[in-house]
Amino acid sequence: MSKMLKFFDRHLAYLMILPAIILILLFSIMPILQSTKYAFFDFQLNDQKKSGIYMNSNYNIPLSDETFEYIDYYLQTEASVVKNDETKQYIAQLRDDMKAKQMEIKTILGNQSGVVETSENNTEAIKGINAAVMAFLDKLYGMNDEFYAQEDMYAVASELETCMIESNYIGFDNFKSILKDPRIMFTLTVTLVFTVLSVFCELILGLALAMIMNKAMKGRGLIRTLSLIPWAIPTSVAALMWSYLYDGSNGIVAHAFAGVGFISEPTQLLLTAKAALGSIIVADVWKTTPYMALLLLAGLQVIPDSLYESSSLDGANKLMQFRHITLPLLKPSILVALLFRTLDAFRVFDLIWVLTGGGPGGTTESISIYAYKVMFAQTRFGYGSAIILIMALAVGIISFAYIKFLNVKVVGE
Amino acid sequence: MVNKKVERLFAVIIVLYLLIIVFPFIWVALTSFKPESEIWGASALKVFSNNATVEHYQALIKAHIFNSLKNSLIISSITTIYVTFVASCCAYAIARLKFAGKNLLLAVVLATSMFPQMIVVGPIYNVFVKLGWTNSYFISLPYSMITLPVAIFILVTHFSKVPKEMEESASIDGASKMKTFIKIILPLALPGIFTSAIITFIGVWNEFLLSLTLNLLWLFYSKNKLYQA
Repeated sequence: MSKMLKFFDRHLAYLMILPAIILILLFSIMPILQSTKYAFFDFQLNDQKKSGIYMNSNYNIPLSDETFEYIDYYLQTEASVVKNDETKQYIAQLRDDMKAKQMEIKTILGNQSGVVETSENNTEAIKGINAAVMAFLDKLYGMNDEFYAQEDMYAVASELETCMIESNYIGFDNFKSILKDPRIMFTLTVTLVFTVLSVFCELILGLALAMIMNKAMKGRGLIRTLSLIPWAIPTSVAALMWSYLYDGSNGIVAHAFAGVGFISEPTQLLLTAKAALGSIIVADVWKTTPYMALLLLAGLQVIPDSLYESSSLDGANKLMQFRHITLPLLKPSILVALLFRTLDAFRVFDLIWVLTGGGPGGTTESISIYAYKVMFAQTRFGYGSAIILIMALAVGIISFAYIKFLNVKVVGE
Repeated sequence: MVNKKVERLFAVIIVLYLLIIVFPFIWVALTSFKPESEIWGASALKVFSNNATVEHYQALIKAHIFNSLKNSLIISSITTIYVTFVASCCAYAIARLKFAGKNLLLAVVLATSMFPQMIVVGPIYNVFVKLGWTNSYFISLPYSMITLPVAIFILVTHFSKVPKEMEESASIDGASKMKTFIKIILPLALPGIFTSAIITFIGVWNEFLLSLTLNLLWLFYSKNKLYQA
């Protein structure tokens, strides 16, 4: 008992961090490594020959068994429709030959099952068998008789090719195609414009609001609670709300914008590229500015009043106080808030996905949206992962720049 | 005189700001009581409806809103409980105990919180499909990726604020480190633990990307459950 307690106490630190390390390993580090691996393969879920990570050539035995079953089925069909006895005899013999070929493949592969790796020699041997099967079929359909399922037969037999899976390792090809993909540059630009504009607006508005709130005497609690609401509701819900307010014929905000003169017609808000991106930025600013204001307010309240008092005795005006007291002392809070907002804005997904879905015509697609579409709509996991790696690289550069050049202290004092 | 004017201006700005914050909610709430014919079309911009109705709320109940709420509640609660527990342990070790590789752990935690979530979605989706875990509460597990780093950071700051003297006096009285943690530190850091729990809960409740990918019942190939919807 006491021995166990002593053991616990001595290794307490490691025991306490162990669960967190396991979770981080399983759900952050392993998936990140896996994604990196995907990026070097032509990995596509909707293509039977590429729906896995194949470093070597493979052979899909279940598919080949199924194919031989279908060939046999169509041979029986043909046997029931052909007229000549000679053809019938040949079909009967062919059914046995096909079984023999199927067994031959299995023997070559050492009677394994599932999708198995094959050596180069085996692949060649199987290619030979496939050719023999095709030759059998050509001979059958070359005979002078009436057939019923010739097209189906060839369609089914061509599956034998599909069973042979070649390695889909393609090295840096995914990254090379990214360089040539015009949509990457476009979505990257959209993401950057969104990030810079929304973070800039949020910072300026948030700072102004925080300073006003700092002066406000009455109702601080109410202001704070209301400010938290936009931040606390799900982004997808906020996006749905805004999509109704922005609606061209029924949305009140769309009509208001048209009335003020931002756009010429309310319907243009979500249907033209610039206006749609603008409306996404407005929705994001609405959602995040209050939170930013609260963060900066917390920083402002730490600045001692005595600094302002003594500086005003020395004859400093409000502007000089702001320039020489508020800004320098608030700088750490501002930079941390900026860093995390920039990273958040750069990976924006929910808001755009729900509000415009990347439309109209892909003009508001952020890089996250594009990567998600490549992965889950086109099921090209390899290419999608490569895009995400590029995005992660950009995120890394942004954080590095903040931490190195602006001296952001993210952890501790 | 000038100060009075400035104060009034500030008050106006604050009121305007609060109005802008709540306006979408009020408008959507008002719309929810309008009959379908007044939501779309010419009368869409009218503030109040003459024929207010609760039909949309009845439709929501028919569309199993309570089932969705229950799912969100269960998933958020499970995640909050285990993430808060794991993060408390880890944060205490970081704040107070000595161990090799502390800086490395901090760097890894920080880096994972900065990585775009999108990077884990593909592999986790493939694993979940293989294990048959899509459309289930197992989604709580990958949620640790988003919530754990934040929870750890919040808790580290709170644990460091607990005065060291409390621990020292406890150890002089013969308490083990474990006992000190459970009996002294945890109760004192309770406000911080609540903060991190609330932030975790909100984070999971609001999460969209993973649930869109893993728990969307009619996703194109969650095979066995495809036709149950």
